[in-house]
Amino acid sequence: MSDLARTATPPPGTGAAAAYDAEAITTKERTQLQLVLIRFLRHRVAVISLIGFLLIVAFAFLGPELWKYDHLIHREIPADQPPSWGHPFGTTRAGHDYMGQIMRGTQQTLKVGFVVAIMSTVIGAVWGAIAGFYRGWLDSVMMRFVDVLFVIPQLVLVLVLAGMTRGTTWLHVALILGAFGWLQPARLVRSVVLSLREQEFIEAAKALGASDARIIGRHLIPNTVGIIIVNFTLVIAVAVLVEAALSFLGFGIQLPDTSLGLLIQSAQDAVFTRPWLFYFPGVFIILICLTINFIGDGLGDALDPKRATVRR
Amino acid sequence: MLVYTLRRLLAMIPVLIAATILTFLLVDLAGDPIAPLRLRVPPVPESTIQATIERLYQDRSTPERYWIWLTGVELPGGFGANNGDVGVLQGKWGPSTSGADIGSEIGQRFIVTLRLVLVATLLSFILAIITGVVSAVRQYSITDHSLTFVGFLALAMPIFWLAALIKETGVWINLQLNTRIFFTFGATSPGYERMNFLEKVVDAGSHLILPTIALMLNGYAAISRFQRATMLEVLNSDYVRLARAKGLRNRVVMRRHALRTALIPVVTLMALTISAVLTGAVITETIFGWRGLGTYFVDSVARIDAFAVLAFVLVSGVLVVVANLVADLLYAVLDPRIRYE
Repeated sequence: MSDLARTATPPPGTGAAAAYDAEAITTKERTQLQLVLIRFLRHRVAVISLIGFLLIVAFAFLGPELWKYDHLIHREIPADQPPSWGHPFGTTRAGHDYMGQIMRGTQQTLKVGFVVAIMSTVIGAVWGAIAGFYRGWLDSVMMRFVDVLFVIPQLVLVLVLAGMTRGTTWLHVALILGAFGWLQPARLVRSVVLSLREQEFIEAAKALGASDARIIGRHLIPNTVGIIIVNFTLVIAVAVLVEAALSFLGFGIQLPDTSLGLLIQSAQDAVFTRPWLFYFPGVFIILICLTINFIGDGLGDALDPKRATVRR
Repeated sequence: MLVYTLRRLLAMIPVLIAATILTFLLVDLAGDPIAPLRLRVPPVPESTIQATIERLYQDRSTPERYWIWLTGVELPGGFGANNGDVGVLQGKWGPSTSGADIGSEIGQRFIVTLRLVLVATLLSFILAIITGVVSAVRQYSITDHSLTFVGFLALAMPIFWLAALIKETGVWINLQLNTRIFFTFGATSPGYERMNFLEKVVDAGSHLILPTIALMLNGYAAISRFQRATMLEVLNSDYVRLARAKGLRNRVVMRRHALRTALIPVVTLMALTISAVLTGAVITETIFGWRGLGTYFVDSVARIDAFAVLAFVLVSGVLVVVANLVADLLYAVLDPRIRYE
């Protein structure tokens, strides 16, 4: 509805011709996806962030195919070189090409972020939807369990598991983070489902004889998709930061593989002596999280137009 | 209110017990604390290994060990028999793989960490409330946009990266000026025990400066965003419009009508912030070389020291739960519409 009103008044600068076409535009049928897309594209910071994020993804996943060095030590690489044309991000003392390492590190970090986000979103959505739909004792038990996990700081849980299992690969780290990342999504989805389940369309589905699984799968979860998508982006950003912290403390991805956190850890006293080693991985983490957060913000506004005036 | 507080405190107990059981299972499943001893070169005599296994109660089953840790009480039939050094409910924290006494370690380190956590939480609240309110009052101005950007930046910045940057900058400034302006290592100077009270406050305070700046970031961004949203909501509400319509001066509307209401919901973020700051403390302490709870926890995990990890989980869990309760009570005090029976 609100979109009809908005397209009827042409944005400034489109000229008089557009004003004549107003009627034609308003009668054009648009799918939900198109509406969301149009609203998202109007959010300039989010669009720029999306482009930036895609560039980072390309850098991390296509870069290693194109760039001449990988993330390992090579004898012909000179030690401790500041950034130059041959080594745009400089080199380390041991003889790594730093750009090769950053590419690899960004790739591992992003892989962890995506796997964690998918895991926590799926588990959280199902958990929250079931708890919210059935209410009663099942709800109490399921949400008390979430409460218990919330009492323990998340890094503690993750550290205990990671430190004791000595997870060495990115998949280890991702699974451990994903195992505890679903708490917040679960709470969020439950709170939405609690209000959805009282609405008429759920009653109608029940009257038609739909099974519980069908109501949850076809009616409840699809209606929480907006929140789930926004939360998905937030979880990626958090996972990137936690993974970096884990690697930094020495419980995450291990050498000779690398991650952005590990790179910062090995460069932490080089801030003034060899600044390129310290700043590049940090800036990449910041860029990833910043773009993701802005994308999430834009998606939130696009999926829920009522929210657009008061953000967050 | 008193009854409510008591009921909440009672409800804490099962939650904390469940949390410790969970941690205990995780630690138990995860590794063998005796393994480093077995792998030592030259080999340790078998009798020593046996003695260590018995000292750590590794010869018991998992449920029995948890029971021993929790109560330290021997049931009829020998279940839970112990050396009298264990039982949290009796104030005994159990044996550590390092051999040191967990209780006294935790006690010393708790003060150190609590200092950091409380100062950082308090400062991040003050700063976030100010910037959040300013942001809302000057909505869509340059100030608002820059503060919003700073908030997003703070959300995106890894705390250890910022902490390392702050620490190295402190070291660099010290080197440039050839004096010690910033303390960049440890929670206190050597010889802290011999100082008088005033010297102690000054010394501990100046050690706090850099780590606190690093740690504040964790809570600051979220609170600031939340404060902005609340303030905007209040500013757009009918009673504020009415206050303006009555012809009150802008200053009075802001201070007496808008700000007072907008400050209340932020209290609910307290528990969340304490939890985040505790997590951040683990990292900040590692970087600044503090002997606090955070570093103790990291070391315990590396040592596969189940009882020490449990002690940390219990202490931080109590902190979080109490913060939660205080937040709820404070909320009721500030907002008269909320009544706890």
